[in-house]
Amino acid sequence: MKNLITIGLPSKGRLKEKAVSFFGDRGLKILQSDKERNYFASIENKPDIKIIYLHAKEIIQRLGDGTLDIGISGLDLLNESEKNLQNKIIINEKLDFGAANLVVAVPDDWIDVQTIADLEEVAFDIRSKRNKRLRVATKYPNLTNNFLISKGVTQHKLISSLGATETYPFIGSSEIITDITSTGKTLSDNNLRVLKDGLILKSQACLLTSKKVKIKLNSYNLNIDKITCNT
Amino acid sequence: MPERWKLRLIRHFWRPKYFDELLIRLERNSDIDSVTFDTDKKRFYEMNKMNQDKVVAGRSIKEILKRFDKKIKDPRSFNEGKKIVKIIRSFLKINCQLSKLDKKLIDFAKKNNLKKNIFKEFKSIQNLKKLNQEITFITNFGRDIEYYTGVVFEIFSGTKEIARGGRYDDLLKSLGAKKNIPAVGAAINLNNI
Repeated sequence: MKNLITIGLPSKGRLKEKAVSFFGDRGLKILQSDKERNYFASIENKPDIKIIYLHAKEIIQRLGDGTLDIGISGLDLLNESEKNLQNKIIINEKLDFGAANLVVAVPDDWIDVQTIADLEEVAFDIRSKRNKRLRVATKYPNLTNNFLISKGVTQHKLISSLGATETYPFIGSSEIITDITSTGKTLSDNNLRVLKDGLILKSQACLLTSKKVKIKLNSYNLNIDKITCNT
Repeated sequence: MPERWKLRLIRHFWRPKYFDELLIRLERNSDIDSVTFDTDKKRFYEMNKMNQDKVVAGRSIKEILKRFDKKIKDPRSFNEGKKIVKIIRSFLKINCQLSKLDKKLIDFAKKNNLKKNIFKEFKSIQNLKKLNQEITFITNFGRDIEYYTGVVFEIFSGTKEIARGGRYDDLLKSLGAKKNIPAVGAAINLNNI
């Protein structure tokens, strides 16, 4: 179909449920496929709209290359993505779910490190005494690097993590971490503590549109509000 | 000035933007709020009884407690910030002919009630006068590159830059040498020769 609108939604967890409810609350009932694990869905009485369930990170990528027209994903993932990708995406609305903070956390027993200024001193200390850099494990290398540099923690090295980042300081893979947290329970259960001024980003779910879609929607005389608000 | 402030200013001298942020914090005495140590003090006493060689995320208990102890004793605020920042800012404005530098530094020390020999390390730079060339001394010059540890220079022929470089005593160690090897180097701009 020529004027098909493709919407990407998170494929699992609470973010998926909330995203489906978000459309439901606006009178756009999402019809799931009969097959339980099918990644495609549609919207009742809207044959021009196709829903695809994707990983939240994938949604950002596909909005960037124009495969998706509209999507719901986290602000953390958008801000972490490449600058030229971000430039192709518009934040249409910040939504009231998916709230989580990206934070800097250190082992509980580092009682002398309470603030980023302390961390900066320790990083320089490690550098001068051992000729090594403070290792920071993270799933968010870009946001972490920018934050630490802006706070003067220049003597660090990023360690890429794919998951269970909280374990890294205790298995010798890093000294500290940055991670996304909503309640802080996983951090504290793993003997980690957030620094007093260690908030890197306050994240939440966002309704995003590809810049390309604007042209597409305009040419079909549609706009995002008509789709999402259905007024 | 507390030791940690001195070290912080030295560490970030090469980053003018961040250095300026530090000066603002120093000027307003708005360093990190006094931290309540009570909770951690309890942990401090517990940790004192632990094996001091035990390592937590790359740092020994001994090392952590030593720094904690030092931090408690270090004053978190002091009143001289505004005055010190004024002196640093005016020092960073020095821009004069090398022939006039001696007088300029003496006047500067006098005006700011600094010790007479505070600029004694600048004496060696006076040797450049022997070159009998036009030399300008600028305190704020060449601050963007981290690895320089001493003088940074640019050489011009007329208006064309023909070389730039400086002193980097720690660079080779950070690149893998076993100890610091003092060095001065420059890149020559062949296009302008």
